Amino acid sequence: MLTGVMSPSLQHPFRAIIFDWDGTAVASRRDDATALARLAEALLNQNVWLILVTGTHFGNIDRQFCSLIPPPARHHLMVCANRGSEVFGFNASGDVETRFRRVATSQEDAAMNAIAEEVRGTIQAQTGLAIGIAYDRLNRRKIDLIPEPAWADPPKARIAELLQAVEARLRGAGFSGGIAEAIALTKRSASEHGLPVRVTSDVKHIEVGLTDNGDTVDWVRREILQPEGIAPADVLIAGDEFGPIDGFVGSDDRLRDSLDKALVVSVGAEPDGVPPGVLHLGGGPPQFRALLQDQISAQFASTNRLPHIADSAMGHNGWTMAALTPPTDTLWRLDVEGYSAALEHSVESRFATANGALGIRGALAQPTTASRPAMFVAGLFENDDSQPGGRPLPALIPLPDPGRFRLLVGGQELNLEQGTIHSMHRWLDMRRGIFGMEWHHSDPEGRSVRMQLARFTPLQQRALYTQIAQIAVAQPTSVQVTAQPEPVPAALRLVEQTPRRTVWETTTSAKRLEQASTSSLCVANRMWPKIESEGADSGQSWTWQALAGEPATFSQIIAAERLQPRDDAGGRVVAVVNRARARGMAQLLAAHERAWADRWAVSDVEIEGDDEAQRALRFALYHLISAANPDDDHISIGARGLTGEAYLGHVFWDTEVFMLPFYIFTWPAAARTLLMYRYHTLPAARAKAARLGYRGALFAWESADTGEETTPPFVRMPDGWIVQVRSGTEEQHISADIAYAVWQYWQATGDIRFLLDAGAEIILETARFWSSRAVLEGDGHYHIRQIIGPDEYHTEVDDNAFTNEMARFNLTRGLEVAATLGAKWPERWSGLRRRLSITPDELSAWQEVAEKLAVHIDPETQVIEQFAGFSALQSLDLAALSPRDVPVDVLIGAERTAQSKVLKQADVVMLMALLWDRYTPALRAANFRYYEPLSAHGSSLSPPVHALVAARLGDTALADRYLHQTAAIDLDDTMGNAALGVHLGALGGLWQTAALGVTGLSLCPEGLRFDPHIPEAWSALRVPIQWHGRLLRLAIQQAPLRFSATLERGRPLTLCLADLRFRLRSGQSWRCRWNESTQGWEEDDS
Amino acid sequence: MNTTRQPPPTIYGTSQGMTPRGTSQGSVLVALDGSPAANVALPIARVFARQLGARLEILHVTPEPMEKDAALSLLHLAPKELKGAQVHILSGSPVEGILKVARAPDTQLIVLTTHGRIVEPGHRLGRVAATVVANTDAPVLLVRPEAIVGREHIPTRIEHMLVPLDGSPVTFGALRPAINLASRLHAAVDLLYVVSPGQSVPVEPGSIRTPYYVDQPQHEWPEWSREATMRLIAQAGCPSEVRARAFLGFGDIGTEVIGFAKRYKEDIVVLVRRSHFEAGRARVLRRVLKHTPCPIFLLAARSSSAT
Repeated sequence: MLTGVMSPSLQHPFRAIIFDWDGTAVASRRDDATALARLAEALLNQNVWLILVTGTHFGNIDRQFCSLIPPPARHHLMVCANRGSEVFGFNASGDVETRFRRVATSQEDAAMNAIAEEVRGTIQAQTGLAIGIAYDRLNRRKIDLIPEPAWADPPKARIAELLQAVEARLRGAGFSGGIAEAIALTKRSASEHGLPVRVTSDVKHIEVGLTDNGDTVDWVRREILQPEGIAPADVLIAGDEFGPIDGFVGSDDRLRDSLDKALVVSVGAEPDGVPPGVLHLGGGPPQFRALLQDQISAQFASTNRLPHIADSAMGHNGWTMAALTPPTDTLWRLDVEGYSAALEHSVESRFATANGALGIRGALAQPTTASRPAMFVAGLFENDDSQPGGRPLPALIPLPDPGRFRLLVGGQELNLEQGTIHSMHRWLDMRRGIFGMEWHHSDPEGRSVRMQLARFTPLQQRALYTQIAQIAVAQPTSVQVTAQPEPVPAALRLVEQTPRRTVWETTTSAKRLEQASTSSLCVANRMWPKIESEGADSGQSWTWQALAGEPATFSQIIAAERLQPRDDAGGRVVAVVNRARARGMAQLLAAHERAWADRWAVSDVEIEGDDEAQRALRFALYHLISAANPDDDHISIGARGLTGEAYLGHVFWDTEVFMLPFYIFTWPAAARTLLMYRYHTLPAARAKAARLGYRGALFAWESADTGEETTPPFVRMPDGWIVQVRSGTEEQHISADIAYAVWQYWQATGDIRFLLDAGAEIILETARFWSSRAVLEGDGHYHIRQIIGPDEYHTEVDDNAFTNEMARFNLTRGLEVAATLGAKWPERWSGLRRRLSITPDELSAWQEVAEKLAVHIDPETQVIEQFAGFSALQSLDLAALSPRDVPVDVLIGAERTAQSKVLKQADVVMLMALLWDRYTPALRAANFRYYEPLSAHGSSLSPPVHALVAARLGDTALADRYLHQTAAIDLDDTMGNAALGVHLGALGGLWQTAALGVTGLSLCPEGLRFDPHIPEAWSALRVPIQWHGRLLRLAIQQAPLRFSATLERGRPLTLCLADLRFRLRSGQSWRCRWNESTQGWEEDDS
Repeated sequence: MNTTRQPPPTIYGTSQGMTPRGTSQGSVLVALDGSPAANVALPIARVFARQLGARLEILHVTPEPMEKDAALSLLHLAPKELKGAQVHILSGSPVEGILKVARAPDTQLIVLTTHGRIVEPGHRLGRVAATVVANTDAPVLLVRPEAIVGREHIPTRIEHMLVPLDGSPVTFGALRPAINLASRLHAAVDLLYVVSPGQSVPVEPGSIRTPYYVDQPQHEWPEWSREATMRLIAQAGCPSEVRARAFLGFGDIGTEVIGFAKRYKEDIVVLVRRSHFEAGRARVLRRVLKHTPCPIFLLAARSSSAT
């Protein structure tokens, strides 16, 4: 192939290339055009228009050329056939369409016949030579001046020879003017017939036609180039006959008639030179291919986007492009531009993809030294003895990301840390659950590579992880892709490795991890063979000689599954991969998109007027949806989900109190499995209570797979000191929190089976715990001493208000469950009561404890004292410490913090959030106003609770401020907190603020009550809510304030808004508006 | 959380070995003026040279030209103390002599005591040391004689290195030689990020800062330490195998550095110099120089901004 011949002007990335076929693109119609088609495909994929111009009919071109190009890539291909009489294009599926056709009238046909026959007659009369006429051409006739077998189809390369032969034939037989005279004769005849025909010659023929190539180029200019905004200067015209031949204008010269500013090149021999304005390259079709090759490089260097390989290469239409293209709606998209080693971990957390079973951090597929790629398999815990305190603790195992692969370009392994990253864009399509990236990098030797990658963990098939990458290089070179298994952590022991699957076992807990995968590489419309290696360097690799700009597509389908110790159903991953491969990536993606669409349809929170809040809510919901798996009730959601290894995958109260409401009201099946996880850990909770000398169930403050307490007993503080951690024994409100969640689920779903099979037992056993935990003292009250509430700045306190009030709630619900079961399901109650040994006396004791649990409320101010003695603590001027960039306990020391009225998070505000209806409006407001200024928000759970309660209180400005503060925890990552996982508790709090806070949703005896307060910046809010199998769509509109509820499905439901009541039926809407003059709600009849 | 405190344990275990012998890794230059104060630098320099696999070069600059043996006798060193070392005797200005020898391309480290024979009142750093430090880009190890003389044992290995940070990514690059040195010494690095009241925190993306939210300290602080370490290693472009851990201190930076170095028996403190010891500059460095319990590895920042 010719290279390096191009003038600077040819290095311009042209947006359209108009080229002649015979003699320019191919030497003859029998040529193999495969190489040309590969180049054309690469350019078409770079969105370059290719306009092929030919005198022959479309069928010939289609057979020789178009059929070699994958259908989806043909979208920018046009064929101007039959010397200016037809233009063909292709639709999105790659099917041919006629875009333009000139059809001769019968009079025009007759006139052309007459002209051709007159010319033939004249020449024959003068010379006696045989002269042929081709009548079967659309809109033209070809007078063959040399109808001899030797010159039946002369190649363009023999043009000079042909010219000599024709002239010799004509002149030798007495037609002394030769070809020139024949053309003049034809023109005269045409003139006499009054037909405005085009007379041209390719030496062998004189053509009489109604059109010529200039006509279709002009059509292309008007119909394609102008609408596409392509300037003539961005058009390249290539032919082989621009110069005069024997005094006549070359056959390609008319190509440039209507595009005077286009660059015109000739690859022909041009024996008589080229006209001014035409760049003569010579070299024929090889030179033309070299020209295309250089154009691919020029395009590569000039665009930011990688071209897309034809989807037909993978057997599907359009899906690759769909997967690799970021969404245009920025409210559904999260972006990060560029690469920074320091911020990489945060990016990886935010851009993680997960489906509740598998989680993949959003790391580069070719990690840098700053990368922390990992795959997490939910529930795959193993003891980790690296924690402080010397006691091994179960930790979710960070597995190597099986989607990473090595890339060798020109024999050099790609290293993004060396050379130059020209651009890097990573995006998260939250609507479709797809993570994507595209980057352009040059290594120190100048090898330039572009990659686009899309990754998703199918929501409909949770064992799967799929990834597709397109790779293109700027210069022709060898490229190798290697997918090589990375070493797994020492927590896993290899037990089986076959070409089909790999099986590991955790070293102490005997869980198994099975993994299988299949990968493929496609270059230029064909699958590339892979090389498999075994042993220490086992892996698969693909090596190919890449053309500049020609994208290769690397696809990976990976399945991973955790098996419990006694699970014999091994080998599923192989079947999962095989099924996925058989279905194909397009189907996988389509099903994944449908699954996400189904989830969004019943959960999307739409906010108008505040794009930042809208994006934050979508981000929150994206990660909440990603975190849950309704098919596995032996796992729950850790504090950071499957997005990072922080918190060791441990489950806290965050799940039940902060995340669960989202699932209860939008995805009850997922909520149920989360609560069933707690049910399965009841034995461990009973054992923990017994170990501490209590009855019933005390759930683990930190829970992993079995429910045993997994809180690290010690922590090395940042100043180096080792400090004991008491949360594992003294932060006991977790039991009441779980009971609360069970009750909330039961209230919202009416799931009788769950209540009878699991929920009741949780509530009863936790109530029993509180009954044994509280101690009756001389003051006639029960007290819970030496306890830690959510505000962990104050430890080992007595009568923590949050704990005591939640315990009271728990005890009361225990009594209610006992009564309900006894009344409605006496047999089940009888069995449960016997099994749990619950006696009437015990229930009476619960009642007494609930009634007499100490909580101090100031009768004057109505402020609930956070714990006994809180009011006597020193005041601390938090404002004087502001602005501060460190937690307050770090700033002033733990001891002073404990002696001060400063809160990590406000327990009483938390209480308002959970037990809203228990307190009077005056008490709610008084406590929020008292505690809110005392909160230093040292926990990420604090701002969302303040946002929720502020919204319910109608302080929308404060709610809005706290909502944005919550959103910033992960999205701004100003503190580096998101490095090893997003804060799912805070994200759940965002949903609660909008769905429960702004709507003011609560229960009323008839059904649901609303008390909307919408932030000023929001013009509208729309939230779907599920309630006992119903789907209710709520909408709140600002200015004028309006509320509407539509029951999309389910039985009739009564709604309350202030003193308004409405019985809403399926398909019906209820609309209300705020009357400023009466300061009240009224039904909106408009 | 409870506040029951236990004595801090040893932060790290033993180090991993030494650079193989016989592979010369440049030179460690120690300048001696013959004073007992200056001579305490020699065993320290020898430890570094051995651990780095480098030549030990001793330099003595006499006021006037003189015979080598005569000059050597002025150092008051036993023959075994000179064993294995290459000795340079120059005459003229000590500063010029040190800078001249230090200009050799393979000089890894210049070891100086903060002062030698002459102790200038009110100055933490002697004139020679201060001038050398201000005029060389080579790493300088400053040994405070009082800190060494009081010790029962001179460390035989450099195992712990304290690297104070201001959290700014700009500083990370300046610390690269220190981290690389730690890698070559197989020494563990203790990164100490000090938050001072009133001190503005770094705001550049990627800065090391304290986490604003500490949900569960038993998880947040170990993760913070890991993340801070990674950021430094990644941004300084240092070998990732360096054993490092980040710590947090509060209060006056100099006081915290000195206290931390004493508490954890650090073998070296690394400081980045951003000035030429002009009046009013290098406040932290001067304070640490006065009280440091161990040698200071002094690096020149490329930036001229003041600390």
